[in-house]
Amino acid sequence: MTSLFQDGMKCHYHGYRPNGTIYTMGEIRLIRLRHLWVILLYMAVMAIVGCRNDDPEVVNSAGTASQLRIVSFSPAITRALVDLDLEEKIVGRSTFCTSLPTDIPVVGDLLQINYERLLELQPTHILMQTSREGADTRLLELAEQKGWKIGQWSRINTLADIERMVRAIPDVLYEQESGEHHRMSDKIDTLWRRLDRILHAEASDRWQGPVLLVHHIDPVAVFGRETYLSDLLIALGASNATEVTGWQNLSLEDVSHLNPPAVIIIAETSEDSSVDPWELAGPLGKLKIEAVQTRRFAVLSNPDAWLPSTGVISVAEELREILHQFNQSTIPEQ
Amino acid sequence: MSLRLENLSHRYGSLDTLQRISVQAEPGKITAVLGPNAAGKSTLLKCVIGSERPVSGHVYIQGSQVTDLSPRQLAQHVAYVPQRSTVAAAFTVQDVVELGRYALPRNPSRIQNALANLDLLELAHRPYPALSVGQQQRVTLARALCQVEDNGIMVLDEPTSAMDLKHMQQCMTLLRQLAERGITILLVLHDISMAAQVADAVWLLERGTLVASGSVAEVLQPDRLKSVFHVPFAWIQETAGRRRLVALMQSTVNVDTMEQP
Amino acid sequence: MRPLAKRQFLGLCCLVVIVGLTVIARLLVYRDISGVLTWEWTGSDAMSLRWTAVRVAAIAGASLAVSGVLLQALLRNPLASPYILGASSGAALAVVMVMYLQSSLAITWNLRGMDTMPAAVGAVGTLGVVYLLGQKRGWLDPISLVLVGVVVTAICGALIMFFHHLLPHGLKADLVTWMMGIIRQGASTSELIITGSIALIGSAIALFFGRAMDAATLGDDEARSIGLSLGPLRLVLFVVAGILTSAAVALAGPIGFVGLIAPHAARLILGPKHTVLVVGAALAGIALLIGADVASQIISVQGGRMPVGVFTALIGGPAFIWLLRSGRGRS
Repeated sequence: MTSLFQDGMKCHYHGYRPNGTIYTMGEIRLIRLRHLWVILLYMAVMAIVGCRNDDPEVVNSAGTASQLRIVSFSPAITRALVDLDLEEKIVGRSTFCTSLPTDIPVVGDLLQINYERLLELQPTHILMQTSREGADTRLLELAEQKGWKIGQWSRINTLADIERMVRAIPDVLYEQESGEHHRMSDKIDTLWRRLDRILHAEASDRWQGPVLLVHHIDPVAVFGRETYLSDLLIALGASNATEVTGWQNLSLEDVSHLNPPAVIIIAETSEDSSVDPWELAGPLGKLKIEAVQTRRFAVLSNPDAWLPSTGVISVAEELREILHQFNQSTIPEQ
Repeated sequence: MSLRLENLSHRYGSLDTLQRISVQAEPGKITAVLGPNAAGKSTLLKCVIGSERPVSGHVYIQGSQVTDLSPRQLAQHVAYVPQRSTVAAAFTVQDVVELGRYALPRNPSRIQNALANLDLLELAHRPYPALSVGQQQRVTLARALCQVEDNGIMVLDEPTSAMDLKHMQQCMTLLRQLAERGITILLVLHDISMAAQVADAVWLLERGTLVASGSVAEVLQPDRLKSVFHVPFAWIQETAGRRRLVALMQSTVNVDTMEQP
Repeated sequence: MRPLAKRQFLGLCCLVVIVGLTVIARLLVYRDISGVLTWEWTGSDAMSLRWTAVRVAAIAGASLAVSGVLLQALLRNPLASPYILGASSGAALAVVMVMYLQSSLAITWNLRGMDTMPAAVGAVGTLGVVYLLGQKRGWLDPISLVLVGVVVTAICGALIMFFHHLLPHGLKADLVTWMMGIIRQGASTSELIITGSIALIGSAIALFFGRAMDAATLGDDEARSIGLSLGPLRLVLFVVAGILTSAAVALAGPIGFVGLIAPHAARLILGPKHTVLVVGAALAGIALLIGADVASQIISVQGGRMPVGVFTALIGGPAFIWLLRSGRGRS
């Protein structure tokens, strides 16, 4: 390149007529022209590569749909966005948003926001879950300055919370009466209709008694009432065997006392549902409770079970399946 | 039991703390180890009790090398009174004294004797950490007394530095009695006068080398003492043929020139 | 063995009685989720669960307490505790790493509720590292040990946070629960036998070295001069304390304060001589941990169960501060 520039400079110095036209001697001119194409090609490539993520316009308010740049600090919200076909519009995520490909940059999480990266990404909308005190004041100031729209939701624990969260997304992203808003609301309605169908199909063929939803064995960690899985259970016609609310730990003796007639273990990791529930149940499977005696033990191993978001729709299907199986197995253990 | 040092050398890092010391301590005699600060006195004692390993040379106790003996074996021959004793627990005085018998068979009468000899019977059930430093020193001495056997060796590093005069006197008397029983006593003292009174032999150290060894009269000569300690000494005649060694400390100094008149 | 003084004998009897009372309380007391407190000898299912809890608490409590005695003698510091050398953070790190591996490789999580193996390996491994780094001239040095222990704990802590961050949601909660200590009612017989044997053998070894520990309270040179081989003793104390701590952490998670408070409580009642202290501390540790478990049976928050570590901290925290201020903590 140096020699190229030197040639060029030499030419520039020697080869320009006062009226601006170039003249050179024979072959030097040819070489220069060939190299000039290389330079132009290089610049074109750089332009394409460098401009890939650049959006020349920044949207300042909700409504200009094609320029949506969403940052989500909540895995539940991210998941909802993905299910609503907005994946390409997400430009930043939290550390825990595993529903997305990893090349989407992490902008921190609820406890710690990486403001530099956030600014670099030039978002239009920021969606997050916040505690009772609301969003960080610094974020609010920045949003005010830059014209970002913030969507905040507090706890997403129950099924109603999930629905509320999802239905509020179009309100945050689009104008009330716009076409995009209608389309998104329709998608949401479709999702919820699907859930309804799952919940209400073949109702009579399912177990309708109490079920204990367990995710850890000793101590026994349960999904109590007013959690989304419990709500699904109840919507499917069964009931929650325990009266505690929220996520609680119980002792094995408590479970023995409770004597639930059915137990579902919410497994964490494997998508392979051929896990033997008895192996997983450990000491829980040795208690003298009705669930053990009637063998009403099952494993729900859907990773969406842990995300209070649109993924629970597929979980509902699995739950229904399990309740169906429970209804079949009323044979007491020998 | 005889104690012999042969070409004993010790180094701490790059500093030579002891250089080729060869000397012998007689059983049944009190040998004082004297010298200014950093002369290597404490290091020498630690080599004798096996706490420090010499870089060359040997310490022989009754013919066996100290480095060949295990702590237990060594404890049966040598008792040590350190300069400063620590006890990291609220043991009573009696508990601490009893520890002297750790490597030896139980002997309650020895313990009682030791407490009596050091005037500790009243304090026997007081917690050690609650005592004054002087009292603690007596306890350490009692512990060593409990440990030492009749043909053994006792090594003491400034055992009376915090004691009051009465107990200091008691201690020296006690050491004399031990020597008469045949125990070899190696004693580091800061007080040259006291050493001259109580010792039978003296090892004079200066910066790791043995300047002189022998009887009190041979070693503690004023001009030698002046060159080692940089303070004039004199032997003062007392009654009936007894002499006392005194350091002629000046109380006035010309501040401008730091000269003594 | 020397004859026990009258005071010590009475003190031991007192401790035995207290242990008995806590065991009885644990076997009889139960508050169910709706808040009803019962005090009765109930059916066999519940009773065997309670009895398992008693054994778990006894083994963990005794192991931690004896380990505390050994470490306080080794480090010549009455404020030393089993976790000062990094055993509990090492165990926690191993547990979180195994959780992470299982979740990221989508392996069936069949070690649910059984964090025993990783915890044991983590604790022992960390102690090995501390051992290698805490030496001076080939032998263990108390000051180096403490410093290395503090650094190792800090590093483990940072790594734990890192892996915790990466865990899926359910496992996050599981880890936090484990780290506060659990007296598991579902511990298997083999776990009890292994950890129980370790506790017994470790305590027996500690008893055997009781007099040596007394001698070790003197300074290095002085202890050597009375016949104690300090180097080998320190090694024994370190290894035994380490294994006891590892067993306790593997069985019940890292429960704090027991290893610190039980030896002191025993010293108050029985005096400082180590032979008797080992027995007394073990009893005090058992009473303390079973007592904390009884508290977690009686006190329930919003219907759920609190981990036992909360109660040992509630008792142990103020006790620790009292120790510091009363000057007993100063050696």
